[in-house]
Amino acid sequence: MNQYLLLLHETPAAYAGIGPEEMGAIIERYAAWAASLGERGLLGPSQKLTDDGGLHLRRGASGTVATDGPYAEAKDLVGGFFIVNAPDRDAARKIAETCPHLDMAGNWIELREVDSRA
Amino acid sequence: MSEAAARLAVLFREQHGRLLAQLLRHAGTARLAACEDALQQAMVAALRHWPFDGVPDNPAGWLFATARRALVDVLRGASRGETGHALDALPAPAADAFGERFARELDDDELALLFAVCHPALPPASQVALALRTLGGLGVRELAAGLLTTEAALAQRLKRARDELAALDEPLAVPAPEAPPARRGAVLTALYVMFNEGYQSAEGTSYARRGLCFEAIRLARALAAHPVAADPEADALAALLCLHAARLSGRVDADGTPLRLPEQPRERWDAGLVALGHRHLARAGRGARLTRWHCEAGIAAAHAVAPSYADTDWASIVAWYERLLALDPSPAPRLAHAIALGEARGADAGLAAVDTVLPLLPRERYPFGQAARAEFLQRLGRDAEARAAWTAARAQARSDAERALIDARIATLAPHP
Repeated sequence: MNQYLLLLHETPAAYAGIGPEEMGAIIERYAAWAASLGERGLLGPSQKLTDDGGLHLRRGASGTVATDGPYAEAKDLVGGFFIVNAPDRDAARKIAETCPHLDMAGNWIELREVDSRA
Repeated sequence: MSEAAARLAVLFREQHGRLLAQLLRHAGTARLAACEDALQQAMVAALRHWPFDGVPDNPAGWLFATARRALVDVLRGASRGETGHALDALPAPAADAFGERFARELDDDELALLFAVCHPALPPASQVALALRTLGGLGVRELAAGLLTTEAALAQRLKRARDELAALDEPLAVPAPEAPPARRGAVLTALYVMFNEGYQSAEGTSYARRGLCFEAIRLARALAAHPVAADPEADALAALLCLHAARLSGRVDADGTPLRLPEQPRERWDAGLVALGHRHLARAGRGARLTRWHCEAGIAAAHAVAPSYADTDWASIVAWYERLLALDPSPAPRLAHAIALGEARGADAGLAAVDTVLPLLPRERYPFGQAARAEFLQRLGRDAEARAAWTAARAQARSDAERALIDARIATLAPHP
């Protein structure tokens, strides 16, 4: 089994017009998705990240420089991540394709494999 | 939709009105826009956090705490120095039995919010939009779909209404029983309009449209159940809406083509809603005042209990229409009365009654007068005249569905001479 990182890219502003039915349905789809992966031991840690975009740090000639990351108003923000276990990239891709994150217009997933070669 | 998702949807919908009302009580109706903003932020936060953390044990408390924080931020941003200190003292709501479907009555704050947004100073269309947005928690997208308008136009309408309420800046309160009946009347009318927005349309089966009907029922029933605000009129309206809604699922066939009342499969009418309607109707009889809601509920009840179109108590329906006409002698109820008269006493009587109303009816986009005339002429075997009336009705039809319905009737006539 390899580990894969699902980075959840989103546009928070796009969530504004959603009504109760859709909200209920989305949250429930996440719960079902996580439960189904959990039962098969495929789901690793997952975390929500704050919207402040964090800091981008770089070292230059005059020392370390920090710039702000993209804010919630930005078009594209990493809202959180899931780690999943899968035998290969195709299997990981299939899991990511079923992630409810993709149901929202504008959302996308960056799928990265954890490099486990010693 | 799964049961868990439906329970969450009910939670978001019900908590929207309740939490908004609590925020408003402390912030004041002048800050309606800020309170709505803050609550919307809390709902979006739930949408983005709960997939990772799961649904909290006290979801209402979670939403409230988040909305309160957001409101303090919004108000701070709006006017530096003037903070939401009064909000810090707000107690968090107690944990609700999660998923208790429609069982909860509206509390006083929510009812006060209903009266605030149905203010007679606002146009009825704005009252309806604002009530659905604030108490029903409908998103702007589904609300625009339900009211058959664009999101931009709806946002404009809501904004104007909020500005108007802010200018009035009235205290948030349920009117006392001795308050002028205009305030109660405005609320009932707004709920009636809300229901009809969802009901009077060929697209009435879509989810968004049905949502309007059910929200109107929820609010009317809550009003009827309230210890202070309840009056027989509210029961009469609740009865009317329940009895109409009972027929929602029988109004179209499997392909979505609208069905006329005689052809509707009555076994598909909702017996639960019929029973609920009758319960409200019985309670509506306790007052001395007869209102249009009483009359219309009486008519709807006669239809709901009839085993078939032919076996309908038309005499009782005619009598109810006569009481209604004493209160509202406008052309639409007069036409309906004429049609009922024809069913009760024969096509000759019906035709004569329709012909007296016909000159009063709108000349455009109103096919019902000519259609009624055509129907009675056809029953009398006067096919050539019936064909002319159907053709006149067809010219005024408002949709392809209506034209198809009329074409089907024309096809049953004797061939053109």
